[in-house]
Amino acid sequence: MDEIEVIRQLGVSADHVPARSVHRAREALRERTAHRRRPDRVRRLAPVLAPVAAVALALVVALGAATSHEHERAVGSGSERAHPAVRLPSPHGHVRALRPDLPAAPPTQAAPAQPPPAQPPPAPSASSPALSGSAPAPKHSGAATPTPAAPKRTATSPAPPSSGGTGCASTPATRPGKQQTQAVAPQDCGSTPAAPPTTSSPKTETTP
Amino acid sequence: MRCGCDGTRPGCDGTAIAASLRDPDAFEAVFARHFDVVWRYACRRAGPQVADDVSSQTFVVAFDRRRKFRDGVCEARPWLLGIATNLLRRHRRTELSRLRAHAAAPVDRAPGMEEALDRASAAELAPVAAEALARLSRRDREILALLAWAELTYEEIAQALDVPVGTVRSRAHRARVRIRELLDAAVATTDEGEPQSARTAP
Repeated sequence: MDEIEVIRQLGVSADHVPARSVHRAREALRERTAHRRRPDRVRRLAPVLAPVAAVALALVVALGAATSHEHERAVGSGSERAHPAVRLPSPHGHVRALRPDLPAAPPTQAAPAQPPPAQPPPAPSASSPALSGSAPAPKHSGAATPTPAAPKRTATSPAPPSSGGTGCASTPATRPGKQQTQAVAPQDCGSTPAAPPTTSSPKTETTP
Repeated sequence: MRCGCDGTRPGCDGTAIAASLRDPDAFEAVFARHFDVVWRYACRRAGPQVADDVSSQTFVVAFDRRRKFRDGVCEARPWLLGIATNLLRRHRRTELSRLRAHAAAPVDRAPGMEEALDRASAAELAPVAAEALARLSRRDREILALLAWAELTYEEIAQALDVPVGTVRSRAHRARVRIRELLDAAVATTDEGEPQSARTAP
């Protein structure tokens, strides 16, 4: 006689499980499976929701970037002028340094209606794009040498024919290193600046 | 999750549970296969009313934990019976009172039992076995219940209770020795003509 067999005789083994019990348990399980099926709907909608969310995010980012850019434009318009002044001095600082003197010289010498200052501005304006264009040039050693030479020639050459006295007056002060150009320029300029103002002023006086 | 038989075995629970991860309705197949076994086991231990609650709750818990079902296992019966055993721990008082009621009840011989001597003697000794089961520790009683009523092997019991097989073997051996001692004592007293004292003996 086996003790396990004795234990099996304990109680009444139900031959048939009550249908009510089965139905009740099945309903409980179905309720749980239906509860778990809800997240699957979200998963099914994920292919639709994901692009919408991505577009919305992109719109928000673009809107934020646009508003910040407009804000920078509105606030920092003066700062854009400051940028070239900061950048340029390194390769052609001496040329840019001349620039403030060019408009400063004429008002001291002659009348404010003098057109010659209009002629020198083309030279700096023409040189400034060249300078800005030649800014990356210093990276290349071969190409860097001709471009700085061009603005120097343009800066010196237009001065004698038009009214070089205005531009040349400041050159000796700003170029202490280059002796040859300095030596030539003051000689030419020394004669020219004295003559034009004197010649121009009598003409204006005689006409009336 | 991948079953060891890769779904080739008919009635493979591992495949159905793996499919229920995508389609929860696939768990219905596991319910249909094993609900009877779970309900009978719970009914034997705690009665039909508790069995309704426990068996229903067993499949709900199993559905919630189906991701933890072991890979490469085809049979879910030990797993489900382990869940039912854990749930039956809440009904310990009901189980013990039921066992004591069996111990006090007169022997109920089913028709045809007289033909088999072993079966008859087993039925006569059932109250003694019920008393002995009530005196066992919870762990030992669970092992014997799974062994006798759920008809699990030692390996399956180890899987159901999540304990080593050696532990199951040692506990089952100890419980069986204990019950055998009580049964032998009951048989000895029955032979002497004093069945009542044998039933009440510790």
